[in-house]
Amino acid sequence: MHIMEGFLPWQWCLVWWIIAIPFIVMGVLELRKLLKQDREYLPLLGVCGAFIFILSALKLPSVTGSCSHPTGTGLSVMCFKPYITAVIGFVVLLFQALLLAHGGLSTLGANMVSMAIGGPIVGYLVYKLLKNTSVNIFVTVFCVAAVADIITYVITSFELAVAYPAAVGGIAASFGAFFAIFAITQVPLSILEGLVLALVFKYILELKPDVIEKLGVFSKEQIDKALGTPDAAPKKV
Amino acid sequence: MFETLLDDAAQNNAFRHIHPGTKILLGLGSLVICLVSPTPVVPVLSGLILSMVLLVPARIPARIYGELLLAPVVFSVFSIVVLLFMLGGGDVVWEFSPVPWIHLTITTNAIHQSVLILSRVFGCMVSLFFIALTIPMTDLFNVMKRCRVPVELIDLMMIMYRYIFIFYDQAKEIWQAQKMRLGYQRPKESIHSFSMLCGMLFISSWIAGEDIVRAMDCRCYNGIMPSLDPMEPVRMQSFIPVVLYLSGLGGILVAITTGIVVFS
Repeated sequence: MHIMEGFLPWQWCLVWWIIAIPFIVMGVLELRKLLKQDREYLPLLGVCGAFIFILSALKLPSVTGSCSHPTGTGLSVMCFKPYITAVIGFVVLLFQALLLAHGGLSTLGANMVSMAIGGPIVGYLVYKLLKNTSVNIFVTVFCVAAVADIITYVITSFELAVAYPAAVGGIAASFGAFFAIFAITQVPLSILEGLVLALVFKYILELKPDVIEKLGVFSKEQIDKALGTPDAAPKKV
Repeated sequence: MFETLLDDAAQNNAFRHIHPGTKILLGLGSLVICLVSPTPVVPVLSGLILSMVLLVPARIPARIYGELLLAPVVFSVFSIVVLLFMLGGGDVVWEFSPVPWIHLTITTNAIHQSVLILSRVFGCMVSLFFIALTIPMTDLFNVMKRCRVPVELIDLMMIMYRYIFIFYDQAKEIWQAQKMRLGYQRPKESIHSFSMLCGMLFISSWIAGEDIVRAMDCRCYNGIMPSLDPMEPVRMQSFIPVVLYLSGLGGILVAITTGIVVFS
């Protein structure tokens, strides 16, 4: 859910931009470091970024009646860590504003904080927490994607609430109201996205497990265990 | 199922050959003026004028433009309803108690604020549409290069931009193939079909990435992608109207805020 162009007062646009910029800078520095080690990284990152953009331009099968888009941040943060995800998220949000007219330029900072920084960081914490436990990796993927999505809506509601506090009850009341109204559609949608991403992971693991291994998302043992086929060669496509 | 990309419009409009800096100045300038405006008059005026500019001299198809304007309606309706009841101040216009412990009121100040926000959204959205519909992404990359944006970031954007269209077509093909084979028939099945589509897309994008590495290695890739920068010159016949328009808009804004002109 993007905050659209012009919805936030200019002071808040500025505040969210100022919070977002250090993450982009850190991301670019990190990117530069990775490119020095392995120059193949950039093209691969580029195509994955394009994949995430396309993912966010597809409409999820509608269940609740409202159409919505997967955010893909869960997948990105597991594959590329939070700083790089912030950079990819920045580019994806910029392209969404310019190619799809979703979100906007003045609210890009706010949308980045919710979708490219806040949601992914919490998702990454969940991933770190569950990664080395005995939890099934599909459950991990589901939790990461769903939590990243829900946190995104929490932050979006917070951004709207601090910009427009309620007359009675202040920021807390207005946060409650925004979140309650988003929750009707967005909580089912984040569960849906979690399910979809877990299934996507299953298909990738069945057909091309080496990608997941190369990115270091999960170890070989975990993948074998999840697929239930130890030492089995990947199926031919 | 699929969103429309605005790239075609950006490549095929009558403003294609105006210097991108001039167009960015107009788009961002009116965006900032609409954003800081404390009255609804300026953004509405700017939105209407820029819409006319987009439809008539720039020859953007009216159907595409109409669809674009309708897109943010859902979000704005949701949020404005919340804001109407949330904000306070001024006289109570309308009261509503569905259950005894919930007491909803709409006040005059809330209505003023909501009107201001809606008009600001309209003005800013049209400014964004102006940038999105008249400047092709490739021109933007050249502008960014001149503004010293880190080269890694621009390269990343260029690769992403290039592959967006390839994957878009691929996604469409897979989707059509799935539809032909009775995919997306029931809710549960459509989740399966959709996940399969995304999974396949990820794998094929990964393979495309490995291919591009090999192809670039063959062409002596050393970490930087040089590209041609055929920038149009800044022409006075487009630059001066932009400056006049922005100063006019800024003038109206100053006149209204300082109270020289009073709109009631």
